[in-house]
Parts: sequence; C-alpha cells; structure tokens
Amino acid sequence: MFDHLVHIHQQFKQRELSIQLQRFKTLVTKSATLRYEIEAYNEYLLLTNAALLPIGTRIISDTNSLEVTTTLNGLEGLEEFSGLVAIELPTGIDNYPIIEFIQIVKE
Amino acid sequence: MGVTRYNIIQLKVDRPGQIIKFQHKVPTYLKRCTGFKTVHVRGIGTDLYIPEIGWFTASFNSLKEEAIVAPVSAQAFFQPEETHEFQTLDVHLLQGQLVVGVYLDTCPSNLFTPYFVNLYLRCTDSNETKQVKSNNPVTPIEQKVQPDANEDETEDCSCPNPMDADDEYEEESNPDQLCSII
Repeated sequence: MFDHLVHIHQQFKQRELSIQLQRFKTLVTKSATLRYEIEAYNEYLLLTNAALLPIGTRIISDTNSLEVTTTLNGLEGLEEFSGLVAIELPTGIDNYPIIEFIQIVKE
Repeated sequence: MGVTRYNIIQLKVDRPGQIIKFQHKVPTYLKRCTGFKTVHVRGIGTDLYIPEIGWFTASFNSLKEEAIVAPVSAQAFFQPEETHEFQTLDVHLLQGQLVVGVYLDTCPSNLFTPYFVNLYLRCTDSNETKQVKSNNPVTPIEQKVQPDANEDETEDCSCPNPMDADDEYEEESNPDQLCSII
C-alpha cells in the first residue's frame, strides 16, 4: 500500500529539503463560491483527495497546475503545489467538497 | 569561454485552459543554464498583441530548484518578429537531472486556436559565472557628487547646484546621474 508520508519524506530527502512542519490542511468549499486562494509561499501543499473532487476542478499554482478529470480516479499520486494556489470549482455541482492537503513547511 | 547550447521544449496546446506537463533532460555536458525565453511559435493569428496566452513554470535539478515562472505572449500577425531578449537565469545543473514543468493555457477563448509554444533554455558547458567587479575605482569627478558620509543616510540623491558659484560642479561630468535640480 502506498504510504503518503513515507513518499513525502523520501521525496524531500531526494530534493535535499528539510521539513520544518508537516500537517493536514483542509479547505471547506461552500455554495456560491467557486474560486478560492491559498497562500503557500515557501511551503508545499500536497493534494490528498483529488479523486473525490468534482470533475473539472482546477488547481493552479506558481509551480504546478492540475485539472481533475475522470482519468485521475484510482491514481494514488500526490500533486504538489506551491506559491499562490488558486482553486476553481466547476459550475453546476451539487456537492461542495472538502479539499484536503498535506502542508509541508520547509526549513 | 564555454560553448552555448539551446535546449528547446516545444508543446502543442489543443484546447482552451489546457494544462500540459513536461519533463526534459538537459545533456550532461552542460553545466549551467544562463537564460530562458518563452515564445508562441505559431497557431494564434491575431491583429493585436496579446500579452498573455499562457504561463510556463519550470524547475531544475529534479525539482530541487524552482527557477521559471513566465508568461507567453502572442505577437500580432503583421509583427511576427519576437523582440524579447532571453531572460537571465543562473542555475548550476546537476548531471542527468530533470527539468520539470507545466504549461497552463490562459488564452482568451474567443481567440483560441490550437498553437505551439516553445521554451528555450540557454545553457553552457562552462561553470564560470560572470565576474562582477565589486570594488570599482571611483573617479575624482564621481567623488565630487557623492554625498558626504556624515550626511543623513536616508537621502539617496544629492546633487550640487550648478548655479552655485562656489561649487566646482561640471554639468557634463556625470551623465548617469538620476536626479535633477529644480
């Protein structure tokens, strides 16, 4: 079974980055608001529940961008974002998701 | 002097808002990347200059160094020459590591047609960095217009008045000065 935390620690060790803090960060979305922004400067947000997000959700950051598609279902990889992270939900959705990240603050 | 080589990463954008991920391996004999340039190659025909049709982000040395976040513009069809110079970059390359990045299309949907964009990386096999002289000799003329060290340090521009007969100021002495006298 793929272990997110082991993967993160290996990744950051390979990249010679030391981790100062690691914790979960959630964004609760609400109806009538389709765009959210999170400031993640000098830190990383790793998306843990991409498969649960509505198809068409876009997450755009200074270092990476992602659009949720049907092909993401079943994938276990963690997408990593940094800088200003903008989250855009598609219109016409019934269930507003809770978006979960692992927040990594580097030294 | 080392040799300079240009690495080209070309991407095709097929639909509005498309996100394209790419990775590229720079040849191992190249030691440093010194510049980059983003170019819309072909596809979007426009009468007007569009300052932004998308964004490149790229990191070097297998995600160790995030170095590029840059927009791509589209030139008007009657002015196809790309005028932008390479932007400066100073990344020491580790051998065999990846350049990893994302292209995000932000082209206005009414102007969108499939197009190609290029990211050019200017790299060299030399490890030498340009030497910047930190201890430039100060000429006697320049010394005249420098503020006294004992004066208020917050004043960043101090020019003697050329109308002052007691001062030996020469109007043509320092053409680079940024301050003016009212």
